[in-house]
Amino acid sequence: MTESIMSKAATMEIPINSNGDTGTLPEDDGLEQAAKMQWSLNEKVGSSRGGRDLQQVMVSGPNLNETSIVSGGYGGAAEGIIPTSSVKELRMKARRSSVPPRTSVSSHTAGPSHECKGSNMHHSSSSSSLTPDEMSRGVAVEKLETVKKWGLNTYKCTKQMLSERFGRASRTVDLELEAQIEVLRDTKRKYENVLRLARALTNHFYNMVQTQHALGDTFADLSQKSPELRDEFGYNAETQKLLCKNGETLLGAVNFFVSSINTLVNKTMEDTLMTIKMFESARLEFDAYRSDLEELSLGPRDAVAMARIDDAQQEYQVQKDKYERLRSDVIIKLKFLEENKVKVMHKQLLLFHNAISAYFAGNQQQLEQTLKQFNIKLRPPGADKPSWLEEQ
Amino acid sequence: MGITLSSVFQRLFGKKQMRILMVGLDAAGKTTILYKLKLGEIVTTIPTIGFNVETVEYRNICFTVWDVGGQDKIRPLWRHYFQNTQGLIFVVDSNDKERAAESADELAKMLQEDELKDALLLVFANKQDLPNAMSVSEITDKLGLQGMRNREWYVQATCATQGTGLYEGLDWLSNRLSQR
Repeated sequence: MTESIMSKAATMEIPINSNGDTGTLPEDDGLEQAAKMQWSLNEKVGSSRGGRDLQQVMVSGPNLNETSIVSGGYGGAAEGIIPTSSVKELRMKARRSSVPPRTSVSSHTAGPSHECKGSNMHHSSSSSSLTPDEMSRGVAVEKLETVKKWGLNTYKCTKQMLSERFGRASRTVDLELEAQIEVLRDTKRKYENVLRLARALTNHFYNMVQTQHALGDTFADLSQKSPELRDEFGYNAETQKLLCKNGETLLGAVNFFVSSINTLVNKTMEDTLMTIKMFESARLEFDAYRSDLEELSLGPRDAVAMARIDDAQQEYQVQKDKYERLRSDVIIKLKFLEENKVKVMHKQLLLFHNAISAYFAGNQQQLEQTLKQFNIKLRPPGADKPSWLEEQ
Repeated sequence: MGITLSSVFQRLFGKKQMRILMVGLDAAGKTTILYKLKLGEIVTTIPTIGFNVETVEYRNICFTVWDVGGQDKIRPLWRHYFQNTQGLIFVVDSNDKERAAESADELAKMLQEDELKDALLLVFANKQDLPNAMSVSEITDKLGLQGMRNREWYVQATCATQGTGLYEGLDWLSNRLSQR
């Protein structure tokens, strides 16, 4: 195994097949071999994306061991294959330093099994005889356990994140879904830009309408006071007032447009992005537990190690289920969002176009008709924010 | 730092935000209610496939109302919009006695969800203008609200087409929200 192939495998992203199945690892003695087989098998089945993927997978299959060893030993030597035992020592050290300090209470009362997953090596001699005093501290211990669990989880995810960033760990990739997510983020950015511009337009237009209003008043005043130019001032005042009225109607339409786009971008799209963020963190967690399991399955297989593998297997399954659930949630929500986006934008763009073109064509009737068509009510000018709701 | 400051500012002076999920059986009047609230008008609606979202400002609270279609095929999709929901508006067609049990079923199923455990429950007993409409107490009974624990709920008689009762419902929500 040359170094170049190894580092290639280590930085490679492993595609998963369509149902997100990265292979369930059997728990018997042939775990390691079977796991490898399963992996490359899944890849072959799942790679409908052509020969390139398959080729990558063929390389990655036999190299998976190295991948996880390197990812496990990120804190130590950066290159070369580290003997498994030294990796484990490193890892243990890292765990000891990152897990919250364990008091004597916790090591007495902590159950012998699952909650100390992965790091229970050095206090496996827990006694089951509890004094009443210790029982009374049960709640505190429970809290401590929660904190410990949280700390361990955070540590694992951070480790996974760092190793991914340094290209040492494999990550589960769903190319199609990630492309869709990227499209959504891009669309959101672009719509935000539309929103920003539409708001700027509203501001400019509002100022113009205000100016026309003031100009109309001034003209009207002058037409009263200067008899020699009364008619001239008079018809200018009329024109400005008419423009002002139409301008306010158009403002109503553009405001409606802005508020609807705002809802779409900052509420509807944001909601899906929230689910996506949850999905992405579930992905990280899942990969962390997956590499944990892979790492464990490479170690020696005495009784303690087997118990730990069992625990890791359970954790892995939980994380995998969560990941897959969120993945299908994201897929559904993206579809729903797309439909909603088209529906909303279709309506709003029609409104925007009809209102703008009617205004600039000077077609007052059509402008008012447009607002009626979209059920937009104008706020009385000057009334700043008491909406129609409160007038009722 | 800037984000912290602005969030404090938002909390002190900004508009309160409230996320509302409005669900119920098909043809209960959810979309009509939504647009009556948003536009103050009765718009012609078609059965909602998917959802509608509108922001409605009332009493200086910005309600984001999610109206998700109620046909039985798409009811399983409701759960996708549970996250962060502070208020649940459950709309019942008061005239539809045959499906009252079905309505109760759907409501009970939803309220078991962990994501909705802190949500306020507002029931709109809609279509009260129809002659055979069930009363508020009848609906309370049919939905089994009396036996509900750990839940703040309120039943409001409404008629979406006339707009009666809708703001009273929002009043209840905003009062409860400000008490939290």
